[in-house]
Amino acid sequence: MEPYAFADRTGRIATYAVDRLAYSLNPPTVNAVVDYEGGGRFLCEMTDCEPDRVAIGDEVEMTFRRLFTADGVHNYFWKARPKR
Amino acid sequence: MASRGIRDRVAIIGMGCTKFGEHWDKGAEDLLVDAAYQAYESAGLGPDDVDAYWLGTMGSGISGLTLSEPLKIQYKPVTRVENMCATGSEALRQACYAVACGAFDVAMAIGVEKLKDSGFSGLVITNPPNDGTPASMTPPALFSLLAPAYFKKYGLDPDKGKDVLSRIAWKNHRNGARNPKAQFQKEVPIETIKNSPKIADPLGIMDCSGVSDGSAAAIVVRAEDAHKYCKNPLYIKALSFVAGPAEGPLSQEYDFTSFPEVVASARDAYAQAGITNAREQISLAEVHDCFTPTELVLCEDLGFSPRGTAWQDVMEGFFDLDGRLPVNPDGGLKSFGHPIGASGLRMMYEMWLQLRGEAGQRQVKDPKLGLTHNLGGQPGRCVSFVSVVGNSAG
Repeated sequence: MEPYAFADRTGRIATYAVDRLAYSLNPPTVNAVVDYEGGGRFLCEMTDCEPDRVAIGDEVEMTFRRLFTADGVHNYFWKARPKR
Repeated sequence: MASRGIRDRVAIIGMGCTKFGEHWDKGAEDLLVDAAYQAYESAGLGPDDVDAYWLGTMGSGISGLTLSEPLKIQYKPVTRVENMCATGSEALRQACYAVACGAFDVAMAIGVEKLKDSGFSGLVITNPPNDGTPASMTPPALFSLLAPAYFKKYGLDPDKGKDVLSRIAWKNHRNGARNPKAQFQKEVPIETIKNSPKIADPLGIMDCSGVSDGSAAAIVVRAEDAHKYCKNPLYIKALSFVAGPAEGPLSQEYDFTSFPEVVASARDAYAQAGITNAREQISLAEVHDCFTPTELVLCEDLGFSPRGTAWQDVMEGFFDLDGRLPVNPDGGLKSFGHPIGASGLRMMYEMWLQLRGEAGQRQVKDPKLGLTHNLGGQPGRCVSFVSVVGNSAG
């Protein structure tokens, strides 16, 4: 297996969901299917975005954020945000 | 190598279906007994006449004991099956193969789910532990991924797209209003649907199927024996089940406007049944309308509408009860809710009524071939079942 790094790659939104039902510290949860430049896809949470303005084709970049917290333990992982 | 199918080798000779809804006064056991005895009575058989059972349930019990205990089955084989939201259809498929191969003469497929007792509105799924990194999405959000992708690809602006989705929900509630077994038996004005509280944009709560309890059952025999029990049996023309490689969430080739698994299972089922033009040859269909965009996409995946045109067929009433190809004439998951193990058999129950002229005020005129479609999973990562049944052999 060959490792690939995606942390510094940008991608575009293939489709997305604005989830008003999911439990979240930052509702509504916006999830996006991110297609990376040069190949590869990842379905992840969006952050630092306006839920009503997210659109297919938008360019995004990755950012390392807090995903869940349980019993005082934080779990960090990658989220996408609109490219700055 | 391909699936050979069992066209016209197995027939359904009796069915039962409970009312779907909030059965606070009943357990899964009560629902199973109700559906099973309706099926026995419908076939003119007693419990002693059934040789083997397949029970579909996702979470209302484990093992064959979930059925043998309430039915007091006397030392016979009972297999419990699970295949996500297609569990009920999977139970039927196994029972059909068991009689087709000659292992048993009479088999029952029965499904049940008691969803309301969990105190949680929706499905309770126990996933194995993971590393805590996968995105956590609710079912309406997962299926809502289809909507913007479909609208964008086929040039529907969000308002137009919402009109299309709302009309699907309106049509299914309109059919359900004519069904005494449905959870919701009321027509819903299209404006109410369109303006219902948002759950996962653009889906409102009225774009989502209900949450209910229910059970349904079928008794199957080899086709050559069917007339010993029943003067108008239902013949199995095709049974197809596929599990996909789940590449949708990982591969840029998947565009969220189709379920490749459904396309594959429809192709297989149509080959088994000898169907070359589903739009013309299928009289009516029950499809897995868990959320309104699902039904929209399914109508293309099943070949009812050419790609990119199902939305026009929806708006023109092609799939209405009095349209050319009624879809979800019983009201669908929208009106019945989705007690997982029961849904696939509930769909078949509508075929049982319609193809034998017993659907009352929902009766479709002179149907010959019916299709049921049952789906489990999410766009890009799912299992799909398609059956074709008919009211005559050959």
